[in-house]
Amino acid sequence: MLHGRPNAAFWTWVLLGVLIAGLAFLYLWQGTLLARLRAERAELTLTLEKLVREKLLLEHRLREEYSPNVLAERARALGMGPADLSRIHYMEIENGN
Amino acid sequence: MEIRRALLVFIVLGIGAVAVLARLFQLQILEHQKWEVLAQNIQEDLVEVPSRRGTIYDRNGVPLAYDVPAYSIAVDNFRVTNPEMLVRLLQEELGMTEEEAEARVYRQSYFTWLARNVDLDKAERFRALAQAQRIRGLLFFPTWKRAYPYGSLAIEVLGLVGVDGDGLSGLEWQFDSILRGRPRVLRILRAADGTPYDLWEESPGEPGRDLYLTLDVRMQWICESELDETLRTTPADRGCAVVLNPKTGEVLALAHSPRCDPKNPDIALLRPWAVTDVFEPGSTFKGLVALAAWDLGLVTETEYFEASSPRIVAGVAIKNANNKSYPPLRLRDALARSVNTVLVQIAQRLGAANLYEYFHRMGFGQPTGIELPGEARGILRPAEQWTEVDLAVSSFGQGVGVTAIQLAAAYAALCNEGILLRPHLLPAEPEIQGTIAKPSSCQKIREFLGYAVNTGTGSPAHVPGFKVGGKSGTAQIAIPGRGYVPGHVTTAMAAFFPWDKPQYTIVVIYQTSKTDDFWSGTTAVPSVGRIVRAMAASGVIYPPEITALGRSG
Repeated sequence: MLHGRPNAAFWTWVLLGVLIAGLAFLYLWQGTLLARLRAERAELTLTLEKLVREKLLLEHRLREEYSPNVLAERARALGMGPADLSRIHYMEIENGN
Repeated sequence: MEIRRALLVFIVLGIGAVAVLARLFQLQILEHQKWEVLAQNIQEDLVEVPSRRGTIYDRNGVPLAYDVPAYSIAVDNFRVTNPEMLVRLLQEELGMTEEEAEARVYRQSYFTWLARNVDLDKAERFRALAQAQRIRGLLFFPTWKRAYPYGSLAIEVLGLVGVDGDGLSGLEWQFDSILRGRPRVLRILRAADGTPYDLWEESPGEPGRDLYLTLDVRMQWICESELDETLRTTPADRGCAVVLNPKTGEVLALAHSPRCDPKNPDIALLRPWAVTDVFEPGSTFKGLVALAAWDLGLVTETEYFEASSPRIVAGVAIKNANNKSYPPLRLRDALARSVNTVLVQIAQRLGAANLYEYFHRMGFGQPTGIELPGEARGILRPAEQWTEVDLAVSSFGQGVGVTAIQLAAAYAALCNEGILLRPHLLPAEPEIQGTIAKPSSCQKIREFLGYAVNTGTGSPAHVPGFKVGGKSGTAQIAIPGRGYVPGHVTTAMAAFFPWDKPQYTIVVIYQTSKTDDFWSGTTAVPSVGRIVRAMAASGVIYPPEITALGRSG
């Protein structure tokens, strides 16, 4: 049982204890945070990989839709025919204007 | 007493601590390697992501072949759950037959491929359905699959890639080492439930390098469409077309029909036969024989040649087409009407040694060096082996075997003031292979061949404003051991435009095995005309003299 006001040494020990506990908490908290961030980064990297792959596939599908054969088929379905020379006029534009 | 009890507790705890330390020493030091490997196997995944193969582009940067993402799906047959449902899924989603699916699922193996290079979306759907059906033991490997956005366009030239990403034919095979890369290796750390908690790159890998071609996708498509249409409307079995830039040797189009579907390839159709197959060029050779004679000064513009048919050479009757006789003709008219008996006389003036020398200079009997595998040399026997008849018939393209690319390169030299260039599919500086004739001789023969298209047998290739010149040819096909077989015919047209300052050389070839009634005038010649028209209509080319078509605006 302590009697009277605690002396300075006591408070020094308490402060030291709090400091060590605080540092330990910070260390553990940061470690957890880092681990969580690393996990998040891994997850996001994998998601990005997946999205990039999906994007490549969609770009390919788009290119297929614009291939000359598909366009020609679409034009035919719209009733268009190939242009021939009788329908073409070459214009000579003076001075490029 | 108390001290003794405390000592006892201390000793017991000490022994315990020593035991723990000893065990730690055993685990951490002595068996470190073993436990590390075990932990790695449980926690770490080493994922090899196959590198993306290089893209093949046309001259304008239009991609013709590239990799798209896919999955390869495998199963661990010992771990698989709900196999009946897996068999059903394989049938419904991946189009397998029941027997095929059962053979793969009911195996005694730790690893069986279920499907390779499945489309990304299809594989994702398959995975979702398998998860919903609680099917375990499936393995999904991200991979790449070769895609051809324009379908079969130029497929014989591009070639195909196998399931393991190896080039199997065409440029894919020829330039496999450039196109293929090194795989990227990732290390993934996983928690007990499989969730990744860290990931890093063990090796960055290296994607394959891209390939740029000299092909122009628009010209390629125009040529292929024209070949397809001719095959649809005539008895032709197959056709090919070559478009060259005579000033550089660049191959702008190398088209074949029929073509194989890259999704379901027919090996027989994968060969770029414009480069690999030899045929007798027929009367298209007359232009080149005339060039040789003109270059040596053996003929003049005003000289008339006897043009009756048949003409007897060493006891063999050599006839004109339909055995038609003509009044005496000048060289220009003989070329325009494709008169065999006149060209025979010109070949006789040249002699075997000279003609062989010119043919050799034009690149016949040797590969052109185009960057495609399996190029044929053609057939050009040494002059010493030629008989009188061989000399005579070679004047109209018999007894010699050429490839379409050789014929195109020779005509390109005619268009390039006599300078023979190596035809090439990859951008490069023009590579001179020799000189075939003087520029003035080339100019004169081009003028004659321009006349042939304006007024003679090449007239279906005439396109107003474009000054097309060229020479057509129809030849029977000789089959080894059987000679000339009825019903087997090659038709050809070697053309260029504008004939005075050529910018393009076009060669179109068709072959049939169905009928003798198969002529260049109704197949190859009009094809050239339609190709030039289509190129003009799509804005790829413009007439050299705009006023020839009239002005507006």
